[in-house]
This record gives sequence, structure tokens and C-alpha cells, in this order.
Amino acid sequence: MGTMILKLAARNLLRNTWRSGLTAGGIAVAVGLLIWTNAFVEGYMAQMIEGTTAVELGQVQIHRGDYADQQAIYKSFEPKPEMMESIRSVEGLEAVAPRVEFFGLAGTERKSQTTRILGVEVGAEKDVSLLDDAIEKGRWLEPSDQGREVVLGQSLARQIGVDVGDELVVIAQAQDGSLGNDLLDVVGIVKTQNNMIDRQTAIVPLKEAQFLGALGGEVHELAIRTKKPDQAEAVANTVRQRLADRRIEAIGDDGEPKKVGFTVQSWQDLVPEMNQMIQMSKSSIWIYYIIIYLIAALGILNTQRMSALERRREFGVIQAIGMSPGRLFGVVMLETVILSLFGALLGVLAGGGLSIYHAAYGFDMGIFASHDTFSMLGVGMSAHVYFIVTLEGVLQPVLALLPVAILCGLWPALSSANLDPASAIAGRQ
Amino acid sequence: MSLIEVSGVERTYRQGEVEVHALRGVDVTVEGGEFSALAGPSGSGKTTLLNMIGGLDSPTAGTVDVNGSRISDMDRSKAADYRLHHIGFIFQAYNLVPVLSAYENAEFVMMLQGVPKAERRERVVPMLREVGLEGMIDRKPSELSGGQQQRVAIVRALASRPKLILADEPTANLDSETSADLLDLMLELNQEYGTTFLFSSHDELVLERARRVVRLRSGQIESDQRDSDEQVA
Ligand SMILES: Nc1ncnc2c1ncn2[C@@H]1O[C@H](COP(=O)(O)OP(=O)(O)OP(=O)(O)O)[C@@H](O)[C@H]1O
Ligand SMILES: [Mg+2]
Repeated sequence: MGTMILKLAARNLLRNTWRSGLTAGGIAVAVGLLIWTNAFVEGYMAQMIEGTTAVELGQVQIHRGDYADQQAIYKSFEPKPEMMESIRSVEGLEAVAPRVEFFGLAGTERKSQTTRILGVEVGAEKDVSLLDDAIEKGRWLEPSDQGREVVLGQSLARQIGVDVGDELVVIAQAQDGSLGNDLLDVVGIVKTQNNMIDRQTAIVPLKEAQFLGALGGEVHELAIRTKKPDQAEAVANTVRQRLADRRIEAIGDDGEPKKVGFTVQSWQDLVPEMNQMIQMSKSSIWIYYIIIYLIAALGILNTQRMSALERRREFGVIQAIGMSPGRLFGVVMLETVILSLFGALLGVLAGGGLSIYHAAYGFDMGIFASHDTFSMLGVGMSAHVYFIVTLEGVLQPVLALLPVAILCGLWPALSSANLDPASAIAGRQ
Repeated sequence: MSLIEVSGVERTYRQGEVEVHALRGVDVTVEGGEFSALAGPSGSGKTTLLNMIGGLDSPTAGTVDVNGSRISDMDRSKAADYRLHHIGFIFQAYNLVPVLSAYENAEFVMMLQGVPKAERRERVVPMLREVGLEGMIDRKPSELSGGQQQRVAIVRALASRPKLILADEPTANLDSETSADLLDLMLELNQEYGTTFLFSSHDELVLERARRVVRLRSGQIESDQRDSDEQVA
């Protein structure tokens, strides 16, 4: 019996191949479009996160507890080896790099500019950020560097008027109040699309920055790269737990000695506006679902209604010879479900296939942007989006289609089951 | 007890303000094994009466019992189930499910009944052969003539061995020769299986073959004649 119902439903759909094909095609387009969009959004967001975090930020940052209120050169801490070890062993963590960061003046005899001095441990930094990849001219810092090397943001170098091979004077107020200064060699220029780096930053080896700031072995920041971008919050939580009991002796803003802990922030905490935008994009996709499925629903409903109306007489006869209204309801309902599932399958193949293609070769948004890269919220974005296909992104449109299909099938199925067989056979309404 | 007992049946249809009295007090009984016809001019109530007996329609007044069950009181699902197991139906035309083959149409009722596949085949194939459809069992209804389609409908109605087969103008769309052949076939099956046939027609050639003719006029029984032309009711 079950196979008979299936056979009836399938053959009825094949009876009007043109109409069924068109409806299934419509469903396929809707499902495929949503799958493709999901993969696009996933890829685009990942790219935004990467653009935000990869260049310099990292996915998680650790600072002294009082650093966030007001960044100051004296709010440093010693990255003790056993503390570093306990951080390094956190699950999902890829690398951790210590940094020193303060403001000073950089320039030549002719021109100088307020500059953010960023001290990095050359070896570890390579694993955490993409600063080394952003070299536009010259070279990146080497572990063998003697400590007099500096890499400048592109706009900063242009403004001061220095280039690779030139000398640069750096002056900064050290944490003890003394004035540190040094003469550095410009070895490289970076261009990142990140305004903070391009316009304001001079990157020097960690030791050099610690010397300029009279920081000894202390640093301001530990930047962490996680294995996957979506692990940021989990890693931040674990690190937070591990550092929870640690306190350092410090001098407060008021000059009184006090104990401070550590602040651990994921990129979501560090750039909340970016996180908000991502969350908003992800939730607003539902509006898109509703619009697309409303259109698809009209198509399904129309097809199934027409095909049920055309068969009133046939359904009357079938009920007259003993098919129960419930079974007839099942047949008509099944037709809609089969049609929708078939359409959904086509949609999965088409949308999934195209998404996989765009995951491998990228999707060129050049049609929307005039440059190959563009800046969004100060973050450099490539116009080439690499899609990310997730099981959820593929299944969600299919699962969301099911209730739509069932709702659309309900009306034709109910009206077929409830028709008056005598009138239907006689051709009366 | 008679197989069919119709007593005091009235059926009034409402069409807006107008009331149509399709049946106005019909009493008739049919015994098991009869081969009887309902005759009467168009609009006299033949279809309405057959629908009442088959539980496709309910009387405004009166009762209908089939095989001891009060079909006139059953709800839609119950009546459908009752038809499935006790009554075969044949209609004027387009009886068959277009997407199913002659064979699949013929086994349809038994399939609804849940008769196993092998048994269905065992019953349907010889019957299709008997009605002259050998070699056509895989054809779709659209590939069969009107007469051939009606034969499939007869097999479908008969294969599940119901007590009663109701046929509303089964020959209306056929030429007279084909009609006569079909009637002969029905009569043969009536005798072979003992199935009761009640069919309607206005074709005198067809009515000739009935053992009993109940004539309706304006929703009332005008006459009830048995074989030998003697008045019964
Ligand atoms: N559902 C209905 N609504 C309104 N009027 C109806 C309905 N069914 C039947 N009638 C009317 O009841 C009367 C009897 O109809 P019925 O179909 O039983 O006649 P019939 O004898 O079968 O006629 P025919 O030989 O043309 O098939 C007719 O006047 C018809 O118009
Ligand atoms: Mg009629």
C-alpha cells in the first residue's frame, strides 16, 4: 500500500512533467540560492574576522588588568616562562607572541611625527600576525637583527619622508620618566589596509622597544592566534581561568602600590562593532529566507492547487471505490513533499556545487568594488571572497523548506480529501 | 433481510433560494443476486438514488440499509470503508486512474484492501483475460477504447468480490453494439459470481437485458417490472 501511494504520487507528478519540472526548478533555485548565500556570508564573515584579527590584533589579547582603562607605558608585566607555558598549552591555541606598545616621536632632522612604537618578538610574531606578509618594500625583521632595525607603515614613512635604507630618530618617554632615544635603520615598509598600522606604526624588535621604554624584560601585551577563528571565545575563556589567580605588584595611577590581575579579551571583546555587524548579518539572513521562500511557496501552492483541481473527478471516483479521505490526503501531501524534496535535492547539488567552486577558486566581487582590495570599518578586505561551505549552511535551507512545503501541500490535500465525491464525479463544484 | 433496503428516502438539494426535490419518498428493496436496472428520464433521480445506496450522499429523510448496515447513517470515512469492502462502483466514463496501467487499475481496490500482491495477480489476470483484455494489461487508460476502459472498471469492481456492484450509466459513452457486449459480460459475471448488479440507464437496448427495471420519474418510483413484464410494486 505504501509503495502504491508512492507510485501514485510519483506518477502524478510525472503526468505533467513540464509543470512539475518548473516547480521543482523554482524550489531548486530558492534552495540553491540560500545555500550559496550561506556559504558566501560564512566566507565573507570569516574574511572580515581574518582581516580584523590576522594583521595585528590576534584572536585573543592579554593585558594587565588596569591597561584597558588607560593605556600607559608603565602598565607592563613580566611574561614569566611558566605563565607563558600555561597559556601555550591551552587547547585550540596556535601561537602566542609578547608585544610592547607605546607612543613616541619618530622622524628626521626635518620632520617628525607622533608614532606608535610596536615591539615584537620576531620569531613568535610570525606565527601570530600577518605583519610580515604585509611587506611592501624592503624586508621584515629577522631574528638575527641587532636591534636597530625598524619597519614603518607606508603612510607614516611617506609623511616623515623616509624610505628603506634611511635612518630614523625615535624619541619616547620611558616608563621611569626618562627620555629614551635611538637611531634606527629603516629596513622595510608595510602596507596592510589597516589605518592604525599604515599611518602610525613603527615596528621594532622587542628588545629595542624594551630598551627605548626602559621596560627591562616586561611587555604590555600577549597576542594569541587560535587554530580556528571561531575558537577565540573558548580559548579566551580557558586562558582567563588559568590566569584568574595571578596578581602582580604594581603602582596605581595614584602612586599607591596595589595588586592587579590580567584582562583576557577575545576579538569579539576587542572590536565589538565588528562582532555586532557579523551577528547582524547572520540574523538578517532570515529576512532573505522569508522573502525567497514566500516566492517559492506561491509557486508550490499554485502548482499543487491546480493539479488537485484538475483531478477532482478522479479523486471523487477514487473515494467512491473506497479510498478513505485520509489516504487521499496522504497521496496529495506526498506529491508536494516529493516535489519539494526533489527540488531541494537539485538545489543542494546546484547551490552546493557552486559554493564548493567558489570556496576553491573564490568569488570575485569586483563587480561591486572597483578595486581588488577595499577597506571596511578600517579593515582591509579582498574583493575575492572564498566561500565556506558548512553542513549547517547546506541543511538549513532544506530543513526550512520542509514546513513551507507541508504548509503549501496542506490546502490542496485537505480540499481533495474533503471533496464531495458525488458532486466531483458529476462535475459539480 | 434484503441486500438493499431503501425506505422513505427523500433528498432535497438547495440551490440558493431554490429547493430541488431529487427524490421524494422512495421505497425499494433489492435481493442478493439480482441483475436490476434503474430507468427514467434525465433528472428523474437515478444517480441520486445510486449515490444514496453507495453512501456517497445522505438522504434528507428516510433510511438506506445495505447488507444489514445502515449506510445512510455513516460518516464519510466509515462509508468509504464500507464501500471498500462491500460495494463495487462503475461510473459512466473516466473511471480509471490515468497514471496507472489497466492491470494496476484493476487491482486498485484489492490493493486498498491490503490483499497481498500474489493474490491480487492471481485474481486480476484471469479476469482481465475473461473480459477480453489479454495483452493490454500494461496499457494506460488513454491507450484503451471506451469499452475497454469500462471492462477494466468492471474487473476492478468485481475482483474484490463485493456483494453489490452499483453502475451509473456504465454504457452511456459507448455505441450500442459495445453496450450490448458489456451488458452481456456483466450478466455473465452476475451469474458466475452471484454478484448483485444495480445499474442505471436510459438506453432501452440496455434495459432489455435487465431482469428487473425500476422506473423513476420526478424522484418517485413510477413502475417496477420483473422479467416477465408482470407488475411488482
Ligand atoms: N448536488 C446537487 N445539487 C443540486 N441539484 C442536484 C444535485 N444533484 C442532483 N441534483 C438535481 O436532482 C435531480 C436529480 O438528479 P440525478 O442526477 O439524480 O438525475 P438522473 O436521473 O441521474 O439524470 P441523468 O439521467 O441526467 O443522469 C436533478 O434535477 C438534478 O439537477
Ligand atoms: Mg445520472
